[in-house]
Amino acid sequence: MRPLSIVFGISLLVLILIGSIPSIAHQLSVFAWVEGNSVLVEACLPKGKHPKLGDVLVYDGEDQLLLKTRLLPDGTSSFPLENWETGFRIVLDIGHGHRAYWILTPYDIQQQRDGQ
Amino acid sequence: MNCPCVRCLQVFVLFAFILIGVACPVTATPPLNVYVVNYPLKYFAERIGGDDVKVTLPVPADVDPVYWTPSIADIAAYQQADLILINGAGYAKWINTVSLPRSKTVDTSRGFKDKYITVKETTTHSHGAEGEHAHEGLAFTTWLDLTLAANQAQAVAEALSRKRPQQKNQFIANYQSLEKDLLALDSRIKALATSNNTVPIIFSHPVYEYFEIAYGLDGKSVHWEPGETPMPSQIAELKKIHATHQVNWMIWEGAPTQSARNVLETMGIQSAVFDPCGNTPTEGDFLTVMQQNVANLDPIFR
Repeated sequence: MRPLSIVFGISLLVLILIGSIPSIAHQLSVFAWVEGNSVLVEACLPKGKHPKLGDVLVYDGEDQLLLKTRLLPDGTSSFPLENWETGFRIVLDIGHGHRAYWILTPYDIQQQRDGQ
Repeated sequence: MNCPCVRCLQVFVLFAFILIGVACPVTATPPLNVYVVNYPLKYFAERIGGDDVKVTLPVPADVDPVYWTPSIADIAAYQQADLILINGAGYAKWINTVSLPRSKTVDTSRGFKDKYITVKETTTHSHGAEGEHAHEGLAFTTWLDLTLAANQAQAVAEALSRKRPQQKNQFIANYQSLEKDLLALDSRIKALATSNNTVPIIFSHPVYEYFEIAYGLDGKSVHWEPGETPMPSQIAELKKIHATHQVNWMIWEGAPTQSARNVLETMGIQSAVFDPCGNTPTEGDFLTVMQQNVANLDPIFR
């Protein structure tokens, strides 16, 4: 019984964690903006929800992967504002083929830096 | 009165004016740099703007502009444009993944938001380079109702006129010529379809919603790609529809494969092409493609 309970508990946890994965495509969205010396990333699902797990992949203007990081349980992530001259494509992958991206062009980054 | 000095001065002044005129021609205004999200808007902007616009659709010709994934450089180019014309109605999904300058962006279907069609289909599927996607939310192929296309063209004319007020009369005249062409197509389809609009039709892809409603057609949609052989599951789905919706015609976005034609012919279904023309056609332009589309409809409703 005890091992079964553990398996059940883990399964329940996994279900809770991935419970916010949408059943249909195109409803995951990601938004990124510059704040200070960081780029902040926020992932959203319909009805004000957010995914709790996911990989954040950051590409430059030549489509080279600059860094890979994880989404935090609150649906956010961040990375240092470095090597931004060609802009960023920020891809969020929450699994099961559910991906979304946000593009920050050099113009966006400059505007947002100037606005601070 | 005939002083040689005065005559010399007059000649000198005359030559000076001529030289100034030759050396400093009136600076031509550069064309407006217009970026669009699909081919119909490119065609409309070029017809209306003429030489006063340079219109760019950066989507490769073999990619559906709805599901195109732009590069950072593409978006940077949109941001630097003088005017960005979008289709609205959820067309061009990438718009929600970037920041476009609001002051330069014009939603050409905004004026008829009350006519947007909501589609309930939520299944995902995959085709082409865009990978898995779903058709859900708003139907977006607005211009297949040619009266709505004319409304979008009018929005283009107004946007160009705001940017270049001195050219407004020319833009309006060009728009009126385009509107005449679009409404002539609309009348031809109405004349064809209304004579026999109870003919059941299958659409190869769910992109004909505005077309169906505008011309009162009795259609149902499947997910068949013109360049692909239908899978058994697709054939089974069609047979299921065919059981209650006895069709003789399937309308395709592009010419189907021979294998698809063969499958349909065994069910007594013929194929006709009505190209939505969302991206730049390989031959002709928006008007000639639509004229061919109308000609292709003729045997369906005859």
